[in-house]
Amino acid sequence: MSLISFPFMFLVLITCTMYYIVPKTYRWIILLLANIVFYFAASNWLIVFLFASIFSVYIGGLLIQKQTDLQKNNIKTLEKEQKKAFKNKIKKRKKWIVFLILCVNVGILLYLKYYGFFVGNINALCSALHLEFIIPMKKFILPLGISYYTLMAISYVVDVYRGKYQASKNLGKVALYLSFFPQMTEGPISRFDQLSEQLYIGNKFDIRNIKCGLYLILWGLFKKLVIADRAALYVNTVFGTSIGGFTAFLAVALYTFQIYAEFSGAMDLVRGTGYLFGIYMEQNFAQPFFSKTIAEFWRRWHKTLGTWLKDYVFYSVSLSSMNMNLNRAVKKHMKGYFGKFILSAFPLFFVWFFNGFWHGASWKYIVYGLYYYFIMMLGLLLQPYFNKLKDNLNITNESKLYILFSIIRTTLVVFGGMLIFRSHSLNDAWTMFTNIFAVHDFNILIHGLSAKDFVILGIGFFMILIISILKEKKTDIYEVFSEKSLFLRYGIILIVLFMIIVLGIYGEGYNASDFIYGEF
Amino acid sequence: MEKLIELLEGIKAGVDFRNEKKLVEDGLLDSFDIVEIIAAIDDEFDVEIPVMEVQPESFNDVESLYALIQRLSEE
Repeated sequence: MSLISFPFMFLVLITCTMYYIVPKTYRWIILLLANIVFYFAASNWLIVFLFASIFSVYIGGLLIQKQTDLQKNNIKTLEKEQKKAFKNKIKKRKKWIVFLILCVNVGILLYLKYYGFFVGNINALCSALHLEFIIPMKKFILPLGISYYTLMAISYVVDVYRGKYQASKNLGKVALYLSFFPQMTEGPISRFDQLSEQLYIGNKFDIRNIKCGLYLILWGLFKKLVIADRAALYVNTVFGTSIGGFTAFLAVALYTFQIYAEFSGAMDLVRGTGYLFGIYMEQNFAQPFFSKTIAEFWRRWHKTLGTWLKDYVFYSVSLSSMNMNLNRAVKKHMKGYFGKFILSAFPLFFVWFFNGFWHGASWKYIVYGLYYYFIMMLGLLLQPYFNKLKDNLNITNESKLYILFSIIRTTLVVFGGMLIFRSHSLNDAWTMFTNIFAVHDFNILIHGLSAKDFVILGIGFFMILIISILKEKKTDIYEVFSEKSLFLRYGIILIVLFMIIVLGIYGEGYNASDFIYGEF
Repeated sequence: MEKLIELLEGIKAGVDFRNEKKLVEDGLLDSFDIVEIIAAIDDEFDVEIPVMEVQPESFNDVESLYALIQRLSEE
């Protein structure tokens, strides 16, 4: 069931009506039922994997909490040495529980999503070594949203282990958190402490939430149907061919525009649907194309994945005894900036490897992650030289021209990442990259888009730009919009609605369910 | 406290650690600085800050960080 489909709209309408009809205490049950209906309709019996995650983290959380409480209740009566030994014993037990729960959840994900990748590589290696050993290949249908809800399940168990919050005794709360239907397709990767209470509490009807939700849904539909799907017509025609020059460069730029419009549009749909129930979900984008560095870009793009990686990969690796020992060794032997560089390089490798591999089970995605790692490390390594150069040229960070230069530089680096991301293989990506420089081709009007389509894309670009500038200035767009006269407000709504209906791409073979990030 | 301020200034020069109250929220300390601070605290104070204690509120100002070190050293 796609986010843009009549069954989804029907489900939202029915659920929303029922939600506000039943007493507040039962509202969470309506949401839970909607989650089950949605998931069963989308993934059929694969819902058992979702149940496995829910039950495993629920039980795991309770077991960890039991150990934490045991420590709290007994520690005061013990002597200092006994205290230390008791704490270590409890910590060890808790670690084992976390390990087992992670094995269940990550194991399911690895088996279903990455089996083909691992087996394919093992078979290729055996063949290269002339070994007659072949593991049979299997292909599985992935349960919807498994990459997203697995990360959410991990965050819940690890947070309980870290003592960020107490484990929930209520299975319904954990189930609601991991299965909230709007976020199952493309995230955001929410956190239990941010979302679960809102889902459970039974929110009161507020017209402001309904309006806000509907505006967001409308804006999301515009971005997906008018912009992303239009840009896709050109992108799909040019990628994977021998077309080069400016025509190919434009395809890369348009793909970047497409994926941004589509993914951020999907987030608007998801968050808008959440608002209809009075539920606030985390923002996943914060005007990423205003970023001056790649590090900043990834703090603004797919934010919930970035913060997840920071909290559960970066800090876990950085504060591991191995990294601390490395830290001491580096401090002893290397002074200054290079030492700092080495210390950043080690944990960041895991972050970017994981980022790439999470996106897909192929070397292409691993290279995609490591591409950003390489760029960031290179930037970090050359930073002192760049700073010196800037000083010599009297360039300040506040200079408008320098800011513009930094934004364009970051965007071009992102284009490189998107080229890898969209290409079928690394070979295709390299061919297209070299063709951009090797061929002269400006025939942009013969690849699926007419001049009229480019004008529509241009209008869409400016609309997104204006909204982004307002958001960057911390303007509450809902407030600004609400203050306008009734005539102007409904005029704008009707124009956007008209554009979605008339200018949206609903051509032959079009399938609204093909959200790029839904594949992960 | 003075020893901690000296340590922080050694890691990130140019930041007013005595008066700043939003070191993390205002972006004056990033995750790399935090890791470096934790490693330095481990060396200088012999206090191991576990990952579960890495919360922005503990690193936002020097008083909170000092309180965290004291609490952990007492445990």
